[in-house]
Amino acid sequence: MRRTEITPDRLLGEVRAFYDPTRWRFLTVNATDTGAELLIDWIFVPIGRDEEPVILSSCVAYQAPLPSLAALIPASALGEAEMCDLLGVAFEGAKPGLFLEPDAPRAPLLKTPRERDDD
Amino acid sequence: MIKQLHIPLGSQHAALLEPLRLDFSTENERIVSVRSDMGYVHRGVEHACMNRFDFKKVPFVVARVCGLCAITHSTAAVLATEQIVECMVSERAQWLRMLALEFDRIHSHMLCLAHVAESSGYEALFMHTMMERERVMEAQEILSGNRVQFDYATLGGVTRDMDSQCAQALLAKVGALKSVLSGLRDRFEANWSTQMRFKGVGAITLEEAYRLGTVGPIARAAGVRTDIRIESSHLPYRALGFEPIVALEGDLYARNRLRLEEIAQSIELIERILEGLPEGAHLSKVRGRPKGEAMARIEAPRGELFYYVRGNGGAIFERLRIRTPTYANLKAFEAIFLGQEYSSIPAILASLDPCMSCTAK
Amino acid sequence: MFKALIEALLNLFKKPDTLTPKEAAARAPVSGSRGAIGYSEEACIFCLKCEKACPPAAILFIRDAAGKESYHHNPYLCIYCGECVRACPKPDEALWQEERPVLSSSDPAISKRWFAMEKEAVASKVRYKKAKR
Repeated sequence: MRRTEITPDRLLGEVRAFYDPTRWRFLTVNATDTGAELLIDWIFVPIGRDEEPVILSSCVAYQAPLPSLAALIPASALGEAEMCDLLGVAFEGAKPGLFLEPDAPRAPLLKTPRERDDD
Repeated sequence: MIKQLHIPLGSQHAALLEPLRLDFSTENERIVSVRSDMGYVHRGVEHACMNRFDFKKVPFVVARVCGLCAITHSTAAVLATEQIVECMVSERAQWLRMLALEFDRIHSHMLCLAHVAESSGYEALFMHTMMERERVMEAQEILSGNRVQFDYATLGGVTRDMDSQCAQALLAKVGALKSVLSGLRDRFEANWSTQMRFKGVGAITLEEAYRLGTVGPIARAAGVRTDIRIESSHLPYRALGFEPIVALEGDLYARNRLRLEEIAQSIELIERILEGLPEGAHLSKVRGRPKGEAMARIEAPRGELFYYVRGNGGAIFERLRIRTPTYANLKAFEAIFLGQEYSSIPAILASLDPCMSCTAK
Repeated sequence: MFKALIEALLNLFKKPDTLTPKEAAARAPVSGSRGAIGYSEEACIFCLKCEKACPPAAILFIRDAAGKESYHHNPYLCIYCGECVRACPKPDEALWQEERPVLSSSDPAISKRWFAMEKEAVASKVRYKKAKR
């Protein structure tokens, strides 16, 4: 897997520069808890060609605010909501509750799950 | 006079196979807005695979994500894991995996077609399609020992080899299906009343399909030439001379026709696989523990299925991510419903072939 | 229309495609079908490979005070994948998979006791190790 490191504030510009919906499909956004921080991957795959996917990635602190791609790519909203729900990633405009019930544990896929704060 | 109505469909409804909630706003009979919610069957499969089950058991766990495409989930998990452990998979095992995937595609497409027929009020065609689908289920039992849960793909190959007797039995089943397929196509495509019901309904344009990142038969029916069987080289589909089928209209009728054509194509692929099956061991030893990261994509019956695995040298994965086809198509569902008549919704929904237990995993 | 009418009339005389429960029960299983898991204590060498390989942990070995292992299988938890048989060093002798489907269990209440048995299986092995030392 070949990654292109970016900073979150450059994400929208980077995506605008190469993303052509007839050539690339936004696969999903993925987050991984590496133990010290979150590794966020925005994965784009070519349509109809067997080529390397483009992976924009960024290591961020837990709960660091991240921009949303939803305005550019509507399909990204769901992935962002899922990452917000399961790993507590703070994507712009994403709210927890896609999969988890209100009384379920918060961000269960983190290595140290977050305590519930019932505010 | 325009009357505004608010109609919720689901999360439990006679026309729905799986829990999905759609909130429609209509003006008289026409849909003007729709909102969807789908997290009703979240079981925490990813969490279980990252905390409880060691990596050799994961293909069996993820096979339980979905009953219809069990084999696609376990195959994708296996293909991803094999990149980060030491193992040599024989050509024969890869071909047998393709064989199981194609059988899965046929039975899933037939189920979808049956439900389109049922949801549009053609009960007899539903019964007929389900009856013919039984041949594929029987073939799957011959191949893997079970009708629904194959448990066929495993790390290092497939769980059981195939002898010539088994191949003959599979060819006979496929041949029986082939002979009735033209009758089915006739009913779905040439029948006057089904044409009235299906043509021009639930269409998506090519631009919308691109913009919303649609995958699978929905995208191909709208003219997008996308199929992971040509976009990825995890499985040797190129050796079979595979070319994706594309339709143009993007409506319900085109999706039905595309699925029927894909069934015919899958039958052809199965015959080619059985004919040219390479010799070799069906299962080889897996050494070491997963270290590093890998992703795998395969074409499930509903579209692109994506797996990401990451191991740190331990027996349990550090991260496993599943992105299912319906998950990618959900935005397109909403776009397709807009402007349609409410009475067509069950048929359109069935033709979009949603799989909620996959999506909410 | 005419074709459909003929087909409808012909269908009246066709045998139904479905089976009655009686016919289904009398039908021979498909060759190679994955059914019940069989076990023979005489042939077993108690390597515990099947216990480790089983994805849903439906096989447990419990040691008694004398150190003798006993095999327990929960047919309700089992997914009949055959991983245990593939892991077994003596397949077909000690552990095997039959073609007949699993219709009933000799011990229907086993699921109720299963959680306690899981704990006991772990505890009994720890106890045995301690006693050996």
